[in-house]
Amino acid sequence: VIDTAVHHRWQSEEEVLAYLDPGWRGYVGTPGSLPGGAGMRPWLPRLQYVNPEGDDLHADDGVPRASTPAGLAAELLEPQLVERALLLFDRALFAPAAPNPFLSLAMVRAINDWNVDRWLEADERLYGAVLAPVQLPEEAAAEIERIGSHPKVAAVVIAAPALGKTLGHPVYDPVFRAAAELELSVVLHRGGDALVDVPSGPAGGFPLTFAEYASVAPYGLVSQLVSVLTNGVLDKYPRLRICLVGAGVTWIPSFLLRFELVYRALRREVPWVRKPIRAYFDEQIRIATYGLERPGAGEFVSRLIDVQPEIGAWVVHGSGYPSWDTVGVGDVEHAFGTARADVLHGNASDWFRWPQPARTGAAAVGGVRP
Amino acid sequence: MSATEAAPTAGLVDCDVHHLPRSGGEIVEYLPREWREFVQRTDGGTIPLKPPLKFFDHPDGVNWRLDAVPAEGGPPGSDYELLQEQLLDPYAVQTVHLNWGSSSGMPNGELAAALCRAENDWCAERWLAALDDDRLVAAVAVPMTRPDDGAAEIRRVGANSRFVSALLHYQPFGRPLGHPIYHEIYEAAAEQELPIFLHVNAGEHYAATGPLLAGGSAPNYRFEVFMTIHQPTATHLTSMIVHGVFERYPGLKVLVAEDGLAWLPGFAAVLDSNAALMRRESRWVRRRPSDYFREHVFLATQPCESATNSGASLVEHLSLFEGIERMLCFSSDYPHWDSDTVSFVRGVFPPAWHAGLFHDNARRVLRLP
Repeated sequence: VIDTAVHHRWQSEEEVLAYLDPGWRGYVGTPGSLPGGAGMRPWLPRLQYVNPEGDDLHADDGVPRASTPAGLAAELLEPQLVERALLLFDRALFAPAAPNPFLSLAMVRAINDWNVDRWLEADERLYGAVLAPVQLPEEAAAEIERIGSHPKVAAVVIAAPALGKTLGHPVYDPVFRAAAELELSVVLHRGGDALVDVPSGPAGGFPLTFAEYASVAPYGLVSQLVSVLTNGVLDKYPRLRICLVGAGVTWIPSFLLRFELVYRALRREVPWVRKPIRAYFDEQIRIATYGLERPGAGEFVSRLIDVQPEIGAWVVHGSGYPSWDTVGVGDVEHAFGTARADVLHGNASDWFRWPQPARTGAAAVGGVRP
Repeated sequence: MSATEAAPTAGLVDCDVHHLPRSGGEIVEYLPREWREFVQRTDGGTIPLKPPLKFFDHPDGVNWRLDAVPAEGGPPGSDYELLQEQLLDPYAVQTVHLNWGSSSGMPNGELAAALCRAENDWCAERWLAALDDDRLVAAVAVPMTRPDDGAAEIRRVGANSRFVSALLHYQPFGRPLGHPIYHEIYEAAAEQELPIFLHVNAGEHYAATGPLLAGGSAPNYRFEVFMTIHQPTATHLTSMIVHGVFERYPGLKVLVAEDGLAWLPGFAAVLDSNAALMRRESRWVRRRPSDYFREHVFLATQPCESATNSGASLVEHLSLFEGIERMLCFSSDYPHWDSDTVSFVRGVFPPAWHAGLFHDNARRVLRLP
């Protein structure tokens, strides 16, 4: 099994603060250095909506899940037979959208260093994504180059556009250029429109409950795909591969139908978009299972796959572990039927910049099947 | 052309047609004196009577069917003779749901309310009464800045049986339409047995309202807008379900126009999947969310997402939502550039759906006699 979406996190923010240079370390401060636990400047963007039952699966022992490599191995990798896991961060995903772009950049660099040191070096099955500080696109490109040279980095991850323009806007070009040059896939993750500090939000206005936000959250991600497609990012970098994480799959058929209609009417606006929409999906777009509709939706996903089997070739397994809506291997097997092997393994096996087997050897990457 | 295609569709209802004044002056005549003076400029013109659109114009700079421009001047949709010639007569339309309603999004909310009242009076007098054509029915333009104003206007205009829906074309509070601030509007609409009419969302394409799409404040191309056009409506309908609008007003229905169709099955599956989560935060979600769609929500067909004359893949996808054929209502969106014709729509959908989508469903949602 290849799991392309694991939400790993720290047990204590101090793990990350240790990677800041002394100037920023002093600026951020030390938790507990003032009475009542105070003394550290909050630096992670806040979310407008939280799940009333908790944003993560409940941990009986009080230790946050997925907060150490050994814990993750015991909780997820071993029981679900995961041979490669792509680590995508948890709340740290939103650090690039923090209001102070310079603090944000310093924190993102520290997070990337923490990730390489504490996680990628710790377990052969764990692979990383460069957290891209997209608020400063040139610095983001430099960060992708700095971290992207590590052999166990397989992707770049972006969760919040941060500048109030969707990700296809040319201002973000350096990010995609750097990813394309290093042959790193770009993971687009949901959730950036739920932050309190960014100039965007759910379409139509801010909902009043988490349940409503959770229902429309996929659209915040689909908007990014629309933007990347229509602004020609995939044409400018024809070998660039992207992967959407957190939108589920039910939006795909209507996206295709609508794209064909709008392309017929308005292609004059976007002359660089030359391939049929299905060719972009075949060659440059994958969708992770995270966000997969849960049992309340009945057999909708299975029926969808029956009607449009091609979707099975575009989906890769991403559990989102340990988030509240984690997708298990069993859920994927149930929903995808005969396409299950492709979704759980085959579709992801050439999508990310995994180390070449010849270079590292199967044993060195945890016994991944050839 | 097959016999069925050539034959007129008896009892046809067109759920979305736009009628406009020849000039803003026609509406100004219906404003009370103090507002007439307010909008009048010293050079003889008026201040803008419509809110500014967000910036995503059609690349040709025109949003109309070019053959719908009246020879005698005025915008498309302002000429009743042409409407008859191009739509009502050739397709034997029995009922046409006229709407316009753009002034509700004026940044000056008091002016917006005055313009909505003027527009409703103009419509009642110049179109519904003067033309003596009982095929014409219309939407109430609902003022939104103060919901009590909106409710009062629904009651005032709704007394005229030729008004058959209540158009919410603006939401001033940055909150989706299930928010309790709007409930008195629904109460009035339910009392008058008028459905809520959402035309291209709740007017998010105007400058002064909520985000047009999720995840970014402004798209770069009309293409992006058209790809994401259903997103605000999805937020609004979710909000109405979660905050109990359909439980409080069990007879209330919603007709959604110009937001596409294909998004609905997948989105309803997402909502059903989140039903337990909704019940954790709201005591109003008593049925499966998709059942609220089946009972309360109707979709006008234009522009139906079929890039060819065969609707096979659209129909196959829509069929994943049980009962969808009872929710679809034909609309042409005349005189807009991407207007769908009756013969095109007849070809897209299977014959078994025709009676529902060409007339029966519209009769279940609009307050038709």
